Amino acid sequence: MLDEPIENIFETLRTSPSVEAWVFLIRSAIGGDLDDTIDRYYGSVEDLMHTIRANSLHRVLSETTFDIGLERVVATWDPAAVNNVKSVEFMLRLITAFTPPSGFLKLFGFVANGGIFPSNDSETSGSEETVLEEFAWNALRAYFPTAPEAPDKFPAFDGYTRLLVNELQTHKGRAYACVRLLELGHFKPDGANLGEVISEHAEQVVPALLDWLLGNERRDRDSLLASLYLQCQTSKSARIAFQEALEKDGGTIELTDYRAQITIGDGTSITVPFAGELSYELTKSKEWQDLSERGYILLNEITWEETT
Amino acid sequence: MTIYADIFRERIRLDLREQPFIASDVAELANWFRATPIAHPYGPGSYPPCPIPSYQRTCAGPPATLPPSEYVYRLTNVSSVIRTTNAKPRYRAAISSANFQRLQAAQRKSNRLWLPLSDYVIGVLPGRRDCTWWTPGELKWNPTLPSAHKIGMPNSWVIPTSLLLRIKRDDTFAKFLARVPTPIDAFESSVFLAATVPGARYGIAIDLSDPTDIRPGFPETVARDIPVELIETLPVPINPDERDRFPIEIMPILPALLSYYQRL
Repeated sequence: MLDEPIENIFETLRTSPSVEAWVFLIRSAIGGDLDDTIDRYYGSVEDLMHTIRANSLHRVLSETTFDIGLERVVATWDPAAVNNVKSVEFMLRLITAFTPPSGFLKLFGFVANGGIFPSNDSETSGSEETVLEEFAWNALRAYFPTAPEAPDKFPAFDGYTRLLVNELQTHKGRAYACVRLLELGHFKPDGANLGEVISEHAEQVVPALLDWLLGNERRDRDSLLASLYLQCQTSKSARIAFQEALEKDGGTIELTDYRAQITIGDGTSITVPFAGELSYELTKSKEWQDLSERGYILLNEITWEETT
Repeated sequence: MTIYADIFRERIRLDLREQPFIASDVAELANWFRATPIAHPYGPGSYPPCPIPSYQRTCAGPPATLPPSEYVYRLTNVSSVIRTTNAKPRYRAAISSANFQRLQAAQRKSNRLWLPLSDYVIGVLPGRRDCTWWTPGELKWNPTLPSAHKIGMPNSWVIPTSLLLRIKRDDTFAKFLARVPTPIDAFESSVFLAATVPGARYGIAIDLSDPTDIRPGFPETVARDIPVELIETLPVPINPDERDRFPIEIMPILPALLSYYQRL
């Protein structure tokens, strides 16, 4: 089989899929031998694989042999030894799309040890490296799109969240880590941990949090958005960051007594009622924009559950 | 010699006959490809960066006058669109299925079948080699594959997370002059029939629906740099059942295609 010209490999996989044929195809793709084909018809390496799997005359066999073949390739992959940007991107895409068992440990080890992704050109190195890092974090996310039922029984999950907590200390990774820790439930929407990160790094993390919330269709999106809004009242920079990020996405905030009316870009309107002393203070002063430090103290006493 | 090499030879013969105005470019490009290790531009593989200027000389055919239709359509996929345009940051480093699901979610939420492409990408839709293919023939979306076959796309080229694009044909669209496709535009495709120039008002795709009766399909045209604001998109998942119902694959159909070219 391995002596076949590459132009026959698609047909081989369609009619008689095997682990060896998949390994050959995956290595060919990673090695750049299918770049023009991917560019012309599929747009991405994962879509090439998806399409060949879907077109197979023996679909279950095709998917099974693919899974084994990809695992075999990933298990022998050393991200530190690869210096080709496209090759790394292709592998990260495949790991994200198909989550082979070895993928998590390979990437976790690389990222945790401060591995640096390659770049082709010194002039564009910054952006290429950043995109590969984004792909790497997305690949790790694919293994834990949400927290497992019993997190303490998953050492890998514990390691992953510790890695994210460490990323909070870095300028580059802080925003992403904050989003993920909230998404995984490690940060409570109204918790002090999230509040602390927001108040210290509002300009960096608030746009990322809003982008995540507005770009996804989570069922709890509106309540999370309300909690985030309240968290952002802790400082002027956070308030401004929230408002700017919302407006950038086509949203608005309207303030009245007792509540804020947040309208997001798709037209959804969310009411954030204020409670307790804060409402009293608001009613008295009617100066929401200038709550400043007084608002900070009061808001710290409010939880989302109380307001709803 | 593989069947792709035979098809390449026949394609070049027909290309030179039907569009002599571009013969020198076609010949130069063909000679360059013959000298590469794979000897032709078809099938799976990769070739070195092509240094021949005519390789980039796409959309150089005469202006097209398309048959009446309300829209022109294009079948593509989410990865190609995200990769070849300036995707908004939240879509940039995501895999195709994640971006596709976002489109489907937006579709559900908005209660609209067609979504503005400008919600996801900015700028223009450049396409490979600055050229995109469109048809005034209505591309149906459920099922999608029969329409794909009428524009010369076998299942092998239609990915599970496909997108239909459409542009309303009005005065704004008219500014982006569509062209009669040339062999240069289609140089890398094994499925293409050059329209006779001068004379042709538009191109005609090859209909692959019936492998025993390869025939002319939908009208087609090429265009470049269309602003994404003019384009609407519809995510069309191609499920395995649909592939089983309409099983047109590239390799099994090549002998019939070669025979079709030889008869012309």
